Amino acid sequence: MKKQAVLFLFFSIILFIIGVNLFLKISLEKQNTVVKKTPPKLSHSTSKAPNQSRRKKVWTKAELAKMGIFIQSKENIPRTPLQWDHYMKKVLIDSKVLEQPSAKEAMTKMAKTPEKYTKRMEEVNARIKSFEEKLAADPLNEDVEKRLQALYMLKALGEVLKDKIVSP
Amino acid sequence: MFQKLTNERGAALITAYFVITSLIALATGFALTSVNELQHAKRYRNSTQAFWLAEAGINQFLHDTTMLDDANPKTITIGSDTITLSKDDSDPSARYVTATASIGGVERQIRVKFSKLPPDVFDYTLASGGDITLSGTLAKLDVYGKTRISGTFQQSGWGASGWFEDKQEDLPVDDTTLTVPDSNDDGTPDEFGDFIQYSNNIVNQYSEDEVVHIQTDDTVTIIPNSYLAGKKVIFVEGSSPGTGDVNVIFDASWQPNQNLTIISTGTVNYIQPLQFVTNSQLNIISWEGYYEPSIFLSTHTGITYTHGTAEYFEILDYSKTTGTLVANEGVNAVEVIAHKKFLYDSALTENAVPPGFEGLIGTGQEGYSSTPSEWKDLSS
Repeated sequence: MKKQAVLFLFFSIILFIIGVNLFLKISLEKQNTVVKKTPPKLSHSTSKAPNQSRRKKVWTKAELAKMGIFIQSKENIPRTPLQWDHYMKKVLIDSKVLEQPSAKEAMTKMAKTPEKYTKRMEEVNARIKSFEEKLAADPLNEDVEKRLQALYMLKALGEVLKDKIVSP
Repeated sequence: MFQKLTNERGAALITAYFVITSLIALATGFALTSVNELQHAKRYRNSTQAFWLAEAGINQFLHDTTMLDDANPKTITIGSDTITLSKDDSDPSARYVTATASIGGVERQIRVKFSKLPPDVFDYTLASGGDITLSGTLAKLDVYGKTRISGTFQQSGWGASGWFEDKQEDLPVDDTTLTVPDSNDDGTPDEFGDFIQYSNNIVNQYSEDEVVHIQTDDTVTIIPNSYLAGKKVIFVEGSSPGTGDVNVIFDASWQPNQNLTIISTGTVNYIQPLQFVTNSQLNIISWEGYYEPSIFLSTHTGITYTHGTAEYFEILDYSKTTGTLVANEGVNAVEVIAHKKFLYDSALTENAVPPGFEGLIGTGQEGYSSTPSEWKDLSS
């Protein structure tokens, strides 16, 4: 009889433990899914954030070129009208930007008669000549050099767009 | 013992015990489940109550946005419950107000963001910390909207004429310029170091996909195309003032609703702007200066800010700029041979400045927007 009682107690304890464990497991799973978590610490980006708070993405040349972004070193940057012509043709054609519908629309709005186009380019050439003379007289004048470079870019752009914007 | 266990009577007894024990265990389990369900329901009820209590706190703040001016944090009592309201002004571009409520040990937090009101200069078409000069034969400059100048307007050249719808001259520099905050915490704002730190902070505010950050002292030429759609900021970071120049050429490929800001530590040369797509804008922030020449019909929409001088030169055709131009050191329209027109159109979206302009300091409308621009349940 004593042994039977021991056996009864033994099985009872085992079953009770299994039951309680099962119950606890189910209830804990429920709590984890339903009960709200402890509120996270308030965080938002501020201008006081450290400089290197996020690892910077390093863009490859190919990735940048795909977006139409080109880095020109001081040695490779075009300097003369010819270099700018060559560069502008290359980048505008490579990027296929002239083929985009919005670009075509823009070029329609910029349309010029051959006479007006020629006159405009003559004005640009005259201004280039004037600034080249200014720069020759004052080679260290950075402002004049920047404006001359801008004129070279404008002239090169005008040359590339000639076939697209000139219409009788 | 084994003999007894194999005994039929013994087996029946054990089975009976087993069944009885199982029933007891199950009954206990069910009882405990019920207790737990009850507790869970209580927690859910408390959580919901706490949420709406916190929401009520936010509404109280919206009703009186000055309530945190004197006390931060502030406790509000509604019936027997309390809500704690606190504000965080550490971000110069916004105020964050958090309402915390707790019921029965369950805490809920709601945070709302109030954007800082943009400085007055964003209401102007043209703001110049120096003079505005116009030169050229038959040069014509029209500025619609407000023009605010710390210097004066000067014109030269045969037949040159400037027309302003609403012009005020000789204003304090603070009213016509933007200042870079003391982002590097050295006690002095508006230095190149601040600009670098400020721009890096801006870059960090956006996701990796929205930003192109290039560190170079070379010149970067950008011929925008459709792959730039979705980008918010392009930051060209040079190591010293005047390095990291940017040329923007042939930008006729804008996508609708594109809102991109180019930040440069050097000069930005916007060659022949061609923004004919509506609802898109190209914004510029440059430390050294801004140049915008054009020989054909040109249009530019967006906010342009330069810490230096803005130069509009070689304008040989009709040229239109829509938005706001802020030039801390002055504006020069040089050798304008045709017609340069500035028009005002708020470049702000829901009273928020474009990407990159968050946190630039100006005078005027102090404070924050009364309407929240962001709501967040911090408990979820």
